[in-house]
Amino acid sequence: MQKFLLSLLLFIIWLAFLPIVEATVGVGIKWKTESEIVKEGSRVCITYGLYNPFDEDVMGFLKATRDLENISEAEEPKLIPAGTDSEHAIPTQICFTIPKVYKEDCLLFGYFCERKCEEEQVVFEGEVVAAYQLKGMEGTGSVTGSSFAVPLRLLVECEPMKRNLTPLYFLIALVVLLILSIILRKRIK
Amino acid sequence: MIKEIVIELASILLLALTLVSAQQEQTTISNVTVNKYVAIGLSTNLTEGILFGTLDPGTSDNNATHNYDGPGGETTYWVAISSDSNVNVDICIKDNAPLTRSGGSETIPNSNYTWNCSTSATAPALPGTAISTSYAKTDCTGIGGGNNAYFRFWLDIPAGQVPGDYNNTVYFKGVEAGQSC
Repeated sequence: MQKFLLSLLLFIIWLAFLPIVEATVGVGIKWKTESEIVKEGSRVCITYGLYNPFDEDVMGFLKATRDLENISEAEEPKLIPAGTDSEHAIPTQICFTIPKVYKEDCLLFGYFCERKCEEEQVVFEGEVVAAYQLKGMEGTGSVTGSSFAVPLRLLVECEPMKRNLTPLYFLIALVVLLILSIILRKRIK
Repeated sequence: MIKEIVIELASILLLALTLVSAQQEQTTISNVTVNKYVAIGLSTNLTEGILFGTLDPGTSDNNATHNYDGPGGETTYWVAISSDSNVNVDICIKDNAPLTRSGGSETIPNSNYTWNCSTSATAPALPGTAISTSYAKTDCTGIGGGNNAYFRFWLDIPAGQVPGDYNNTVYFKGVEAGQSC
């Protein structure tokens, strides 16, 4: 009995001296660009690396903020295993659909257009945020989560365009020829 | 005789050409982009949420449950910057909405929910800053890899507050030192 009590006491002392296990939860991001020159009407994808040097697996994802939010399309949350260091960061893409932003001066219903690129350069500015899915909790208080935001500027290139009137000239020539042929046929008759 | 002179002149010319070409400097562009990487995480107690337990209406500066439960009364709420990072970090904080009663619409205003941050685990102290639904930069700035930003939280319960569990979500966002939140 005494031996049992002594063993129990030693076990309790051993437990008391065990280091408190700390399990940090979070996500990391690796990036190589903070600005890109893009073409209007194009789809641009940028790859970031998600990593997790902490102690618990997380479902990591990217999202865009501010000007970039409405033109972005990110991958679904994916597993970023605990202990994934930055060298083994998991490639994760976020894509942006760049709308047409520069004015075109058209002669006829969207045809025979020209663009002078005299406006200021359009820039979509915001952040790409690496975050992870949060867990719920009970009682009075706050659920918590962490993220890291990387700035991103998409500078939209304006390509000047000269009005191409060649198809119009062909059309006029065709109409003239048609009128001439009608007149000639009438005279022959 | 002429043949010898020609050979001599050719030799001199060849030597001169060799010297000139040896002295010509060749250049090329060398360029490298070093990736940036940073990871931030929450301590165990912060991951579990910021809890205040059961409180009475009309009480002020109620401590969150882990404000002082570390060794020597340190806080065990911290945001960790992984040592596997190569940029310094500023920490920002916000919530999604005021604490709102589960199954109801009553709230505890954000002005009653305060926080403080320090790079020392014993330092965050009252008076705190009221949390907001927009990100606010904390005093924990320029934190390098392997270091932590320590937090404490306090809550005032207005007199006559409707009983129940009140919840919201608090977000901690890292940005590269010097960037805005």
